[in-house]
Amino acid sequence: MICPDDFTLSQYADGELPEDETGKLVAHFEVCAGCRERALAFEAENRLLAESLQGIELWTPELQTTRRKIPGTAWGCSLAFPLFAIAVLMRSGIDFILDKKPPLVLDWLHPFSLSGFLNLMATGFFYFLEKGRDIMTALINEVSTAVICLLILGLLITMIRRTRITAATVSLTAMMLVTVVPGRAVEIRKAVTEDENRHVSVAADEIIDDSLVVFADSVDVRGTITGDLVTFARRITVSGAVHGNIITFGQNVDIRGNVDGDIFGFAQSIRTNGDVGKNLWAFAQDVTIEPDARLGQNATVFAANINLEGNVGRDVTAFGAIHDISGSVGRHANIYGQQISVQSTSTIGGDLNARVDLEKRVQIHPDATIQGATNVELVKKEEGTSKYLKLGFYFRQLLRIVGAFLMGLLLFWLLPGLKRAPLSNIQGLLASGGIGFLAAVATPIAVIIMAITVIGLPVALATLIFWLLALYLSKIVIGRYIGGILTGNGKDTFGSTALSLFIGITIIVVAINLPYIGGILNILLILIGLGALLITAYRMFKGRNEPAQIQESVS
Amino acid sequence: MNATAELPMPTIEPDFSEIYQEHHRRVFNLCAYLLNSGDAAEDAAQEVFIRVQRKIDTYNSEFPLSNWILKIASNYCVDLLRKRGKEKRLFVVDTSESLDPTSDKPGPLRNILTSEKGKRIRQAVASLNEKFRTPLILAFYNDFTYDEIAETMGIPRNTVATLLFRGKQQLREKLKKENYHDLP
Repeated sequence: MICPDDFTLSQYADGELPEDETGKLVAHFEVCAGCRERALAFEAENRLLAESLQGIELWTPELQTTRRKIPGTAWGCSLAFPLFAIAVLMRSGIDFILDKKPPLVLDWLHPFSLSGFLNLMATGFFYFLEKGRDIMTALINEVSTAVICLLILGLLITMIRRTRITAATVSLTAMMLVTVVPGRAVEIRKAVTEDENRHVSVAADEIIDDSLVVFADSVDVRGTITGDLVTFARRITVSGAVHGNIITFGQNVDIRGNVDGDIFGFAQSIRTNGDVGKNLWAFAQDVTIEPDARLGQNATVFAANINLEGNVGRDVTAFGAIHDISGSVGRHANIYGQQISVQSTSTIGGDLNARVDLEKRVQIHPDATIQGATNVELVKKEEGTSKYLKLGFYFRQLLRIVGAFLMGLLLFWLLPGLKRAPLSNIQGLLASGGIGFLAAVATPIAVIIMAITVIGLPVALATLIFWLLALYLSKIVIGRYIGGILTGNGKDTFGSTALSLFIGITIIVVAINLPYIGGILNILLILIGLGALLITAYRMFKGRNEPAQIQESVS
Repeated sequence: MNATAELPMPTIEPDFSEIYQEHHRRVFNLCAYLLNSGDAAEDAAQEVFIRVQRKIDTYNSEFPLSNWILKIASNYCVDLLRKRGKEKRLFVVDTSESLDPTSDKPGPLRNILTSEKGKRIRQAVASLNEKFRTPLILAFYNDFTYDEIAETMGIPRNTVATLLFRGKQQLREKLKKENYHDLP
């Protein structure tokens, strides 16, 4: 006989095991001292429990516990999700009435379509331009205060209850503060609201010995910043020196000074004219790398119009409509767009890889120097052909199903507790959707804040990776649940998990590819799945598997 | 008149008074454990004795009276718990929640609890979710068998075994957490 599990021993100790099994166990105890010890321990445990419960004269109110409830949060989450769903439907409805083009207006909701993605980015970006300063100011103020309060609270808890976990947490936080704060101190400047120009400037003789975050209508940096420069403004001019990176969100960004690190620019137009030590990452309508500009490493540009007149030390990767290259590129130039002009003055140290619709749209002046090969790849236009008529589409979806299926198997093998998604009733569903919505929206904001405040960039990156992973896994979790319902299989075997996972994922992939409603379904499924994933992970982390408690706290 | 006066007095009153005196503490404690409230337990105990008085004719004297009374009290309290609207699903065990005995790394309570006072254990039991607390109380306060617990709670016998096992698991975790820095 193999050694019995704890569940069997527990029943034995309770005196509730069938006679034949008890006999076998007793025989086993003769030869297995370990199991005998365990059984005795269970019996002693029972005695102790009985003595403790029965050994009171009278029950006293001090035993009374109050259940922790967070109805406000739960209701908030339950409310947030339907509101979001209604908002999406209303938005779609209004567009439908105005444009009379129901299928197309929903395209922006499809996060995997390029136009949808760009639209979403652009809408978000311009909203951010308009409100970004206020949002960021408020958030940074609030979050910084909250973080400091939490730290103080944590310290107090540690002093009161010296457990290993709290001690470790606070030590780690303290260490992070000690190591991070002096190196990455942040100075925040805001334009005075009464000032009509809402202008912030760093004078030419001014040296800011840490990172600078600026919120204003216009920013003019002529002095020196030893750390990073983060700006949220309509007009941004940097003619001084920045020893760290520049991260800008604005309408017009003009960088004429020298930057030792990278430039991350999100704007309508970006111009660079100085020396940049590392890379340029630009997302804009117009990007101009002027003749005097020198980039130490790569330029990666997403823009409608791209003018490369200066020097790029290494590779240029550009996605845009019209590209004009008259400067020099140290290595390869990879250009994806509608029109590419390589002027006579340009020098490309490596290959020119162009991807366009028509070959005639790549114009290379005979005097231009291209030391490597010139590869022009033509993108076949398939206008008017539905994606559903292409075989490749179905192959990609098949790959998607298989990938998600394998990932799901791995996930549930590693964390079997995730199968208990709290979706069995409408409250659980709404709560999951609400929590998913909050997590989906709040995490990127938190990541940005973390990246520029004391908590630091590594935590922000780790959070971002977890967030992306959770978004991917969310549909797998919900797929397993849907599959479980359809197969009606409550068993916890590998076969039943695999079957329900496969059926669920297939249904989801079909559903999110449905014309018109697929995009909305995709978002809803991601949000609900993300919420369910977080709730389940939270419960697993807390070590209690009490579905009733979640349901109760929701109700 | 005299004949009437000589008739024996109905014995139920003095007997019941004795029954009440003898069992009140036990019934009150049981109700308090199950309902997790002293005030609710007082009302419940009162109601239990009214029921005991009403049903005393149905009592089979072959079995201990205390067991019979405790059963009435248990049934009444479990009904009360059920009636708290939100507790409808109180004793439903999610079948997809697999029992994973091998994951039960911490040893039995003994190691942790020998140094604990009864009060801390009672507090830990009181803090358990009702669906785990109820069978634990019925088993270890009432000395009920699995079958008796199953009948009282209206759930299958196997579920009783599962709830008891997991209840004890959670109890261990709670006590272990409290004593974290004391553990080796």
